Amino acid sequence: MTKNGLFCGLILIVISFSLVFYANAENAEKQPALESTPKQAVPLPPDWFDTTPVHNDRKLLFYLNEFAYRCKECHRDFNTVIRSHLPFGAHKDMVFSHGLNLRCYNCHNFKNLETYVDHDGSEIPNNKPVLLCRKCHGTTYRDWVAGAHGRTNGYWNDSRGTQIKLECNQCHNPHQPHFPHLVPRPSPSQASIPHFEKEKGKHHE
Amino acid sequence: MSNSDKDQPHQFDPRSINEITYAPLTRRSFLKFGAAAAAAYTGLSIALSPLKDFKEHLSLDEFVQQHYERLTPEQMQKILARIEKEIKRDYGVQAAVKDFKPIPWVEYAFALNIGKCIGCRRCVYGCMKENNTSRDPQVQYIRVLEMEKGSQNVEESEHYYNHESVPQADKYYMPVQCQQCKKPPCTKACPIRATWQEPDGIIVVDYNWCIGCRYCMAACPYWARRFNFAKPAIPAEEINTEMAYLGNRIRPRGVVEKCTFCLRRARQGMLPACVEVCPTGSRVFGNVRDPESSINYILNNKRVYIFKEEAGTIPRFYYCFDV
Repeated sequence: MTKNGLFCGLILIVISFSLVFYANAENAEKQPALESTPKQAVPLPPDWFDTTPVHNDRKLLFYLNEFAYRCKECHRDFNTVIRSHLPFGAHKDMVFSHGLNLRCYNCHNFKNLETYVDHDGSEIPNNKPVLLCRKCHGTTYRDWVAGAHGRTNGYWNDSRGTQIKLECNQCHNPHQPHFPHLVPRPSPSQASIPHFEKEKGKHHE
Repeated sequence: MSNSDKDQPHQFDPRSINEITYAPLTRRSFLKFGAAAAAAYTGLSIALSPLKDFKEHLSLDEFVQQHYERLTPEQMQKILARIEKEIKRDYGVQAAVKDFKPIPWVEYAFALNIGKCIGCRRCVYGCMKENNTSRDPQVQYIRVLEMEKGSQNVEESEHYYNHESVPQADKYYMPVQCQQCKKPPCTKACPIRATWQEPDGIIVVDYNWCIGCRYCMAACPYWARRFNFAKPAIPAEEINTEMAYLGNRIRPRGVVEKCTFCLRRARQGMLPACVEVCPTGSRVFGNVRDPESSINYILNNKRVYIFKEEAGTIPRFYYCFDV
């Protein structure tokens, strides 16, 4: 009996000492400890998740030589009815790519240049561009009303909060309505696994 | 029986039965046993001493925590308080962790207009910001595939593109994220039911129950799940302090995470972060059980396809296009 006990004790001692030496050896190699605190990370630039619409310029101002003018300031002084489709005078630098829709007064109301014009010549207020664009883009308007065209912000559930539908000229520049090309945000990091680069290097050696 | 036993007659043991059964403890045997026990004890304690370093990672409350579906509200309150304390300790921000329950009679679906998507990757980073995913190593839920026009071969797609401007000619862009399948292979693969489908259709992961075996990642045909190889590194000023237990709370190390349709936002009635940030408006999110919803309009009126239909997963994520 005592012999067996002694034997067991000896085995235990051997195991425990081997464990001690193993633990010490591990410490000596200085393996990276478990990260109790996360690494320091660089913040993302705020414009990477900016929710501002692409063309959010809805001001009724015309910029010339670093001054801002309202339409009336120039157009009250002379006859505004210029039926040319070419950019003229102060607007000659403007670029138009709205297909065949080249005449200013197809959309702008020549009686009151701060409003848009409807089919019958009546005014469409400046803050409701949707009513103007639907004159031609009926199918797009139908999709927009249903929520299938254009971005929706806020709440999917009307009963819980307001749902904001962005309007035509928040994403499209009316004079160049094609959606602009954008700079893509950086591609995913290919070093998504820690020490991936190091291991990759090892494989190549 | 050996021969010697047979030859010799049985000898009578002069000791009494008590003396034989209860062998007296002599000084010699006591010292022998005591020395062996002391050596074994000290050796073991030294050998196990590295376990002291685990104290921070293994809280007893977390160790004995029950499965999400068996938790009582009181237990859940305690757990949420503990998680807030842990986040305060590790990241230095006071977060508000809540447990959002599904809204009755709501089932979410997502439509993405690939005709409109230009591959600008705003959604990827909007998602990272909302969902508190790790910045280093980087964890992103959305992967934007750049595909040849006229092709549907994702094997030949490119997701590491870095052009000066997008969209490129002759390319179209197809963002892929969790498809929230109606028949999810990932939940079947999980050996411990740490991931499951909620009544509103969102596949969630209980990060405290997940053991990190990554079977679900192998089962997913869309490569939608991500593994936290390291403790997430997020700058304190960028942490979204409104967190959901099953959603965007900061994940511990060694668990799987995934897109949850921004569970925190969706269950409060808000739109997911990728929908909010998309400059082209190609993403549409809503309740399919509401016949008036925009998602239902798309499913009824647009050309719609689902990704990897042959996998039989029946996704809740639809790709659509105009005309």
